[in-house]
Amino acid sequence: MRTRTFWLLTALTVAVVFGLSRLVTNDYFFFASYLVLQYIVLATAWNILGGYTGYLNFGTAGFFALGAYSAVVLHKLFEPPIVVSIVVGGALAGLLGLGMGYLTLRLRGVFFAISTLALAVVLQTFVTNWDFVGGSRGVYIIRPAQAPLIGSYIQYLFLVMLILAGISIAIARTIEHSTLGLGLATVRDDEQSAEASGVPTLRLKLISTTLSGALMGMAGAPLPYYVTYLDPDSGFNLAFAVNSIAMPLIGGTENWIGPLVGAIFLGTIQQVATVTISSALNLLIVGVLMVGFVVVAPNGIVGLFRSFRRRRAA
Amino acid sequence: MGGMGSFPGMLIAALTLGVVESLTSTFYGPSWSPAVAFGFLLLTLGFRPTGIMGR
Repeated sequence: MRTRTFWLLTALTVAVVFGLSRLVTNDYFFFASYLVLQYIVLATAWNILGGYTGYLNFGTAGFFALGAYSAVVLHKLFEPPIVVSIVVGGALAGLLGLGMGYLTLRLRGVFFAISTLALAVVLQTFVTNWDFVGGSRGVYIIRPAQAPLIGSYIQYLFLVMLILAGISIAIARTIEHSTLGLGLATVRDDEQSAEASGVPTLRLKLISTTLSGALMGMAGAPLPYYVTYLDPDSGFNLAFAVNSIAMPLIGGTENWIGPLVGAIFLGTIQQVATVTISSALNLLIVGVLMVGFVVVAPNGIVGLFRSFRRRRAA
Repeated sequence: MGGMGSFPGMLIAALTLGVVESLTSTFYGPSWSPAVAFGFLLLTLGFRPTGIMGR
């Protein structure tokens, strides 16, 4: 399938899903699916760096909250439309990603993971001590009751996140089928021999970290409007980082379908568990599923399907 | 931070980190101390990945 066809198909899917969602009248549906869509964006963004390039990022929450807090700052300054906040949040988080990319010059594996985690904690401390965005007390965002053309504001947020999810998946698919994706795969498999055979590893890694960070920031920008009350502890919650690592791992990290499947699967389970049992169960579910998948299906759901098909063909 | 497997490095890193962290929480408030601790970690990882006394 050509890349342009895929973009068109994604746009079509987004349109169809949104069209179908117009039939749903229950607002809770939009609240729940917004979270699932947000995780699709986060998991896909994580996978661009973690799955394609092989650098584990534990600082997802940092990028995500950077996007969210830049939206808060913009909202306090002049209440721009949400698209502006998304672009600005994405740009800032992309810059942070670029900075993180330079860390990959010297760090690999577990040390890179530690430093991304440290990055998120440092950011969180700055936000906690910044009174303009509410500091540790948090900040209230009063969102408009109605959105133009669409009506209910939560449906508008849902549409925004749906489009973001579509864009991020299309970007991931495009990377996968381009020379960039091939270059990233060489970095993942053996960075030294890639460098030795002329792959510009640093530039590729920088593109990968920037893209990944920018997408995470874009996912975070609508968050203040969604929760209407944002404090550093919830914005920088480690659950974001853990989930966006677990989802690609459960779905499969080798292609764009994996994070999508993982995010829908895990996100839906978490939403159902929140309603039926308790939200405290979410992390337990993630942990149990992750251990289970690492033991039973190290290549995730997608890998599981693939090996089934191969077995049948053999 | 001190350098994996280096005893003096570990001692120096632990002492510095502990003193600096408690100084920040005394003079600038406890909410800043994680930034200092993790900032140090980040700087070491960024500029001397093998640690202070590492090879």
